[in-house]
Amino acid sequence: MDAAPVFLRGSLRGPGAAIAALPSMSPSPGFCFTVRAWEEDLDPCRFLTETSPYMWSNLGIGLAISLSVVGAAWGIYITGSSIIGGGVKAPRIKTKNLVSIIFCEAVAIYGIIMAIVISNMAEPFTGVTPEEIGARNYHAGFSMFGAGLTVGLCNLFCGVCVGIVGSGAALADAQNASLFVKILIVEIFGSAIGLFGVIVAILQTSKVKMG
Amino acid sequence: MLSLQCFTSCLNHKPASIRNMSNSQVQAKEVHVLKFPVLLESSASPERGGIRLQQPEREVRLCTRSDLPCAGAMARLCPAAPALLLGSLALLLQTALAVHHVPMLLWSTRRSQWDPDVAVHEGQVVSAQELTVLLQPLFTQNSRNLVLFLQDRLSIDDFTYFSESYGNKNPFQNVQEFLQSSPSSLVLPAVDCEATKYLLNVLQESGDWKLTNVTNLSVSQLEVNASNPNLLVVQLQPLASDLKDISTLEAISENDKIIGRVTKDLQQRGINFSVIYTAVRPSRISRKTDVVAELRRQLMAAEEEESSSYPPLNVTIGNDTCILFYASNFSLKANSSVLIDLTNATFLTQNVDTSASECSDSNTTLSLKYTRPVNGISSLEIRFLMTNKFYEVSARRWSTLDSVEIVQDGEKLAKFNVSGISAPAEYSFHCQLVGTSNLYPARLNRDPSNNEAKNWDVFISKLQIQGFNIINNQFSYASDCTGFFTPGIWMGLVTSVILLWILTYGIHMIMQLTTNSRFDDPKGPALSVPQTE
Repeated sequence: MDAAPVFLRGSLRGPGAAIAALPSMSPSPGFCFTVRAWEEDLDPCRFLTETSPYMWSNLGIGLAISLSVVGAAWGIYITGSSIIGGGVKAPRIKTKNLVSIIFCEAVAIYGIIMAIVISNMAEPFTGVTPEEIGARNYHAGFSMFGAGLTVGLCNLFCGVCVGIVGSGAALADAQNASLFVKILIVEIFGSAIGLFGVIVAILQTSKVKMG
Repeated sequence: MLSLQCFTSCLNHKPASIRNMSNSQVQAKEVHVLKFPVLLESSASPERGGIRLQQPEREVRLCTRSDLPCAGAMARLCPAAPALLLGSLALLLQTALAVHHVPMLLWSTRRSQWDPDVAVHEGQVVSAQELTVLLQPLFTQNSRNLVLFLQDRLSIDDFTYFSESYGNKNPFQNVQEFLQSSPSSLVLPAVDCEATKYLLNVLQESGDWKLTNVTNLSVSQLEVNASNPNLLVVQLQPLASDLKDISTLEAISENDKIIGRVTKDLQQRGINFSVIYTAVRPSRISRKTDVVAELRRQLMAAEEEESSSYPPLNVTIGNDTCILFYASNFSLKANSSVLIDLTNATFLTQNVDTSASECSDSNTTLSLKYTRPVNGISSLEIRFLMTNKFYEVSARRWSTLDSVEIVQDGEKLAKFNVSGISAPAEYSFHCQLVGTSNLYPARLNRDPSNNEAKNWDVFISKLQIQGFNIINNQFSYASDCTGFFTPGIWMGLVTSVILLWILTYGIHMIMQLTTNSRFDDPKGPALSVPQTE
């Protein structure tokens, strides 16, 4: 009991069990272990229980799409500028190297799919105090934030990676047409890491039930 | 009452006779009402550089409004008005805002009237008690004569403002000369307006002063019988209410000359007298700027009004105070229709029976019994049950308000469970809003098994309660139900920080964009692009 984090106390007992069942065993009356002097308002327990799960879930949704788009955009910028630059001297590379752009764009598509999937899990719930909100809603809020952050950051770096590799592929292709296919394999590996982020995010939100 | 007298006498234009404020007819002596020309404008006073003068509209209104202090208007608009001098002065003073202060200059022909070591500190506003102590010598000596020069508005800044602004002409020449040359003098830069009013009341009520009102014409013919205590009151010319400095300056010079004339005349007669030069209200009111760097957030919009502050409800068992309870609004609603406001009964008139309260070290019950709070309810009892327990993990004692029970007519019991009202045992608990509504930070939850609770709604605002460890009959430090960072603040901060971070990252990326200048050679041949592959 003492080792459990204070704010997960409810989840250990199961939803619906009164916090005050064993009052002498609880750290303090009320949910969080705080004295409410102003210095202790920086209490992490109060921060985490008083910020609404809605905030966390919506931040997750926002981060999922926005960070993915940043990654895709960055990748396309890198690849695109190389293709255009190389295409001045070797116009034949233009059509073939659009594949790199498509790999970058896929990253943004992962992001939007995950954003839609996560946002479907956001349901209204009632409750103002931590006891009323309940552990499940907190779990949902935090999970959605984590999933969104996961997919967003993974896609961000995946997009940059694919972009840089694609840029190299374009310039190599401009020199020697046979190099393109081999570099494309590197690009495929780079694209897989974005997919990992999507898989993990789906796993994170699989048990989410809000409301 | 006084304004009614003003009104009737104003209408009837009766000749003046002095009346006291509290009773009528003390002296039927004819008094020449002072008739100094009025130098006031009817326009409202504009702001000037942040210094705001008082609104002059009051002075120009007629006596017809009974709620206004018409005494000031009286002196101007009713030429033959009765000189209800002290009463009108007292009423004028009543209108002065209690928090404001006026300067008071005193000088006397006697030596060592006032202790030269009287320390008046910077910023100290002399209160009524202190003023009484300071003026005690004036009231107790033999053959005391007191001249009171009363200006309608004066501030301590006026002395510097007017004497410096206008070059050689010092409008306070006589006053300055008297202060320097008198055997004893005292300058009080800030005397509370209430204290000056109190002084006038004291002068009026002490009875043995012979009150005379003085005009500039009759000063030389004034019969001052030095064997009796005399009080000469000179109401000086009012200053201009707008900010035309020249006319204000002239008014001040005129007043100064009057002061000079009266004082010199009395000096020539060889009488020992003291002079008080003060005003009814300040002419400059500086805006109160509280630049207090406080750690605790304060609601700027909601100014606290000290409209009715009353002491908390004190429940004493044995010799010691056991429970302290305070609320600014304590009301119930029965059946969603009947509002029962118990604030007055509990705190103001103390019409509540707390004898059934119990106190112990671990359990306290505050029991409030009301008889006939409203029609239809013969008796109402409200009980607050508090417990004080030791919690092992935090290793301290916490006091909690566990439940609130409402018993109507001795039989119907409504029980509310309270969540979230807790404080360490040494502290009191304070919360802005407590009640059954969902929106309140500290809520009374209806017990689902209790049917009666559905009929009651409870609203308590600014609740402060302490059931244990009361020291000195006072509330201990209040542990508040809302802390420094509210949930909204947290959420705003987190979201803003994340978005700002993303924005910063994006801007950083864009700033990194450069064009390749590796192969740039301005002197070399230009790039040639073949048309065909």
